[in-house]
Amino acid sequence: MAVGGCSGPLSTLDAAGPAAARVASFWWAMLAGATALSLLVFVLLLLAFLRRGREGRTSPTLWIGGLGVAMPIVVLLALVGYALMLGERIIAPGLSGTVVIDATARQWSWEFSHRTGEGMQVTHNELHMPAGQAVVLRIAAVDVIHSFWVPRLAGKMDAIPGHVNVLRIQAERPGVYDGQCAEFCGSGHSGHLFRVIAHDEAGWAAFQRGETR
Amino acid sequence: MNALRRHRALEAIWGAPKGWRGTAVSVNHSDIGKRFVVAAFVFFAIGGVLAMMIRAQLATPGSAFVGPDIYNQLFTMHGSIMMFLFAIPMFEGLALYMLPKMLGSRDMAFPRLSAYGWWCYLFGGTILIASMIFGVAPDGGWFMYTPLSSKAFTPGINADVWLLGITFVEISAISAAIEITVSVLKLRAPGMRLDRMPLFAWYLLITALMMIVAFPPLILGSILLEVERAFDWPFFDPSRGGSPLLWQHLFWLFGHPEVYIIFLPAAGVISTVLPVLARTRILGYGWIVAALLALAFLSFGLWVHHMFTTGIPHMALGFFSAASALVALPTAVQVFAWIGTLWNGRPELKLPMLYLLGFFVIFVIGGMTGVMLAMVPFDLQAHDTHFVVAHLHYVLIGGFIFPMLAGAYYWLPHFTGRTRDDLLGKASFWMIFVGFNVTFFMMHLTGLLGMRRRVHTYPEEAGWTLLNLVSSVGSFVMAFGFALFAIDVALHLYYARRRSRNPWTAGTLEWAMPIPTPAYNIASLPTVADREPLADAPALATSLARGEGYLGQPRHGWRETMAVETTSGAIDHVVVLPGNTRLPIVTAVVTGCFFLCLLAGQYWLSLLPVAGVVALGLRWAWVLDWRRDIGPLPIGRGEVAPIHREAAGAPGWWGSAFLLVADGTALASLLFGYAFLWVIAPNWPPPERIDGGLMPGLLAAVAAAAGSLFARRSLAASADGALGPAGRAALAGAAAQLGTIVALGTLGVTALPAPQEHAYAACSWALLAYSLLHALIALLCMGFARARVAAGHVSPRRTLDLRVARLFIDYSGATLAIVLVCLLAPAVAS
Amino acid sequence: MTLLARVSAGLILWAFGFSLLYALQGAGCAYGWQEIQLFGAALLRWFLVVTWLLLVAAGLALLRLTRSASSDFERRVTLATVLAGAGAMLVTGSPVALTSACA
Ligand code: HEM
Ligand SMILES: [Cu+2]
Ligand SMILES: [Cu+2]
Repeated sequence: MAVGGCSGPLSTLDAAGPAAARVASFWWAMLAGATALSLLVFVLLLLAFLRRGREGRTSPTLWIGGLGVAMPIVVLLALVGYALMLGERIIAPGLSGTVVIDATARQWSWEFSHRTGEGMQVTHNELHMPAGQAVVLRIAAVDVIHSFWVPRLAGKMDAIPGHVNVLRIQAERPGVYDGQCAEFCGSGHSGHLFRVIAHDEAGWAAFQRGETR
Repeated sequence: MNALRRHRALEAIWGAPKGWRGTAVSVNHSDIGKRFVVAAFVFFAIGGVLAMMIRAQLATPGSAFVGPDIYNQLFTMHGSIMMFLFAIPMFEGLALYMLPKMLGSRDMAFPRLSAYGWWCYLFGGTILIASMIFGVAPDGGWFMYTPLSSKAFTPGINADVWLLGITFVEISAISAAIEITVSVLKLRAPGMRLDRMPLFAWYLLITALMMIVAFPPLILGSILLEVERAFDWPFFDPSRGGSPLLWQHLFWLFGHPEVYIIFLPAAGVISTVLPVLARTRILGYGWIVAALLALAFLSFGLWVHHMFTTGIPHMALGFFSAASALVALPTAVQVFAWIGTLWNGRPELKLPMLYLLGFFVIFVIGGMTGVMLAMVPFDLQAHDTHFVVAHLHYVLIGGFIFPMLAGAYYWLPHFTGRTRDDLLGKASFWMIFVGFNVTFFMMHLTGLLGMRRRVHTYPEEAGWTLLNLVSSVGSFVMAFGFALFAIDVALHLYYARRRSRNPWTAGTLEWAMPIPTPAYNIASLPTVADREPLADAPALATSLARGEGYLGQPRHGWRETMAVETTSGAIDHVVVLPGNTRLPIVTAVVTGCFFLCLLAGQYWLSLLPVAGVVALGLRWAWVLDWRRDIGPLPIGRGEVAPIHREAAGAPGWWGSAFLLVADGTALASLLFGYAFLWVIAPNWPPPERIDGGLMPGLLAAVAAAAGSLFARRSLAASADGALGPAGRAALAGAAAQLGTIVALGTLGVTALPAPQEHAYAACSWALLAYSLLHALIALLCMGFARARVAAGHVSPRRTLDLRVARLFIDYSGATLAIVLVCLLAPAVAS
Repeated sequence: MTLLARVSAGLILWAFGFSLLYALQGAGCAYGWQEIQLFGAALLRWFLVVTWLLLVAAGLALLRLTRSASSDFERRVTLATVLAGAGAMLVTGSPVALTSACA
């Protein structure tokens, strides 16, 4: 769903991976619903002032039981149900058969360790991955809490000292995607940035052989 | 006695001396309430200036106005000031000022405590602001995540300022919470059943109860983090079995209820003001009470929604996500009750109503984005971006500031006794409303476009330049609006027509008195038979002024007000409140010295102010002079009632009970932390566990049990009039507590590994310290009881001292048993 | 004071049940109850689902409280909060059936 003003190197709405795309559509749906509900409230408010003078009490059952309880319950249940299912697809993936990369954050850089046929390939502030295929990240931190976030590909995941968190990301097409540390981590937080380079098949094979492009 | 003579007599009893002496000694709720409101507004202005600096910095990409180090202090102080020094104190001030008046009472239940809370707030706030002037302000964000705020990454004093300063201010929050709870439950006009209370009192009662449970986790967390920083006890250090996530849990366990604690009083203002301006009564009183209860509970089941990205399993996220969505329901109930009320009445677009409409628009939008953020997949994207900044300001400014501004204009005549035309007020409304939306609506967009919160700059290429500029311009429009509001209020104080009473023809009791109100509120207390006592009896005010209600005869220089049975509102007893005293300010100064010692790292020196606070605390209780049996007192209308010290459910007892609830929550949080680390944190099990300790543990338990028995004996003996044995039993009780202390100390020294070694040891020591502290308190209580008996303050009728002492001792014993089980279980298990 | 306790009973039960489910889930994942299979699902899952359903039933059982209410106000508020508590238990506990427990 590409609306003109929504593109940008860090835009969550300019999705380039399945997780980000699903969340973006979810957002547009929620926006539509929220707009409709807000308008309903505003119209009811307006009417309260317009119908001034027309007497006649309205019942609490209608206002509170109907509009205050029944209507929101229906909306909220649908929303929670959908969000839980979406969350299952995005958050709780199987780990089999995919590329695994270790991402380690520190003040203020990122270290990415790729397991390749040749052994370990370590890069800094530049994550290499194959395009069109899910990649599993094992995210950790050595000093304070940071957070791994590539808005165009997927949601964020915190890098917490003492814990290892897992995030699955996928880029539909080869390209360069901007990433940033999303959790405040001290005076270098603004500049705690990195890039994700999604390779086509040839490029990925080259990277794995240790040939820098 | 005619009305004027009565007024003079009451004023002499309830008033404060003129000048700075009066300022220092006054404990009157109207004085303290007004001070809270004014100080909170000053802090709001300071926080607002910081916000303007934030927006100035973000107006353009690559701005060089401030660097990251200053910027980090700016948003940390902005957030902390707004949450702790503005929002909470502002509603505390309103509650202190307004509650007794609405409940038909003459003061709050613990006037000296209000004053103490006020001074703690003022001094704590001053410490925080001073740190900013000296350039050592906290800079870890308003939620101070560890390890960034730990010694290794914030070696300076900045984090200590936050932890100690905020904890100091929290003392006033806890005091106010206990005070509000007991005042609403006990100090009401006769006949005011629970279901006849003004809704505002329900809102504040529930808010206060929430505070009693919500603040202790934060206070505990702050203590643990400060201890880690000062003494290297590794609660949050993962390399030694701690976990940074523990801090997040403790903080948000407080932090989420906190936002409802801020919202509910403001919603209470809406439920009060809106029906009056719509010339009708509120729709669905019972529904609203039920909704408040549901909100109070649900809001404690949301905290993990601030932690959706920390890698917690999806099922746990699901619990909290569902609860976060559900919490919208009680809010929807209220919103539609309000709109239905408007439909039922004839709403008028007066100035307070304008602010209420502003509230509706902004708060509904904020509520919508709130539900969106409660959905895990969306939050993974929006978390920690400016979308969240937008959301939180829509709910905080929409849900707190707009209703409070409506309340300000509604009650200004009450504070000043004057009314003024609306022109300037309307201009300021439109500037604030438009400026607000321009500022914060843009942030939804920058957030979705990927702009993180807490960044001091951003590149041109990101594509957020125009949106940020517009947002900054809007923020200055809003700032001018607030300035205009301040000017309007200042003008109101000096250039407005005098009014005598009830300009809105409202029905609640705060309008049944002359405005501005005298120090004693009402010359006599009414009998309440309706939720809006003034609605059917417009002449009530004059009849009360003529002394036709209860307690219309001033006597003995006593500050008298009525206490009722909680549910039925039947007359229970007469409360005689303490008068003006320097004790609160002196105690607050000494408390402040304690925090300053800690801040300076003078830990041994800090024991001096601790001793001072203990001595002052004992004096605090001692000066209540109860050497004489009074018996039933005439209260007017031919009725009699006992005095509080000779009645069963005295406010002092209830206040102590609620204090212990807060205390118990702190212990529960500590136990949660211990269990959490054991299950979740890395590097467990600990290298070294408790070794032995069974003997001293048993001895401590036996001594504490003996202490409880002696406390009971002492109480029973004094109820029978056997004061000699009562005194001796109290003394024996004190000795037993001493035994507990020695045994506990032995247990720690002989059996526990050093606290710096591992989080396990640190938790064990923390539990031990908790019990030691309470055994010490129990010891002091028994010693105090013994002295009171000896000095003749206790009689078969006057056993309140002993009953309160027993409460503390039983609590100390019960928690000791829990602590011992937790300490010794690892030894038994291995 | 008893009125406040009675009108809060349903919600207190919810708070207890909510904490219980969260604690069971955390402990279960930490101690590997997820790995033990029983009748086609993990032991942890059975445990959680049964606890959840019992809690909802207990919440509904509290409806009896409304019978002994001493005033109309108390009865209506109790009814509303008991239903709110049981409903909240049903909804906030539903992830035990819908989501993966330890990932
Ligand atoms: C007067 C107008 C206000 C403006 C223009 C304003 C502006 C801002 C901005 C731009 C931020 C984000 C800073 C960043 O993340 O880089 C922020 C953060 C915040 N604001 Fe405000 N704000 C205002 C009023 C308030 C009020 C009234 C409250 C609370 C009652 C409040 C509470 C907060 C909090 C808690 C934060 C988060 C601080 C942190 O990240 O540590 N603000 N504000
Ligand atoms: Cu970082
Ligand atoms: Cu960062």
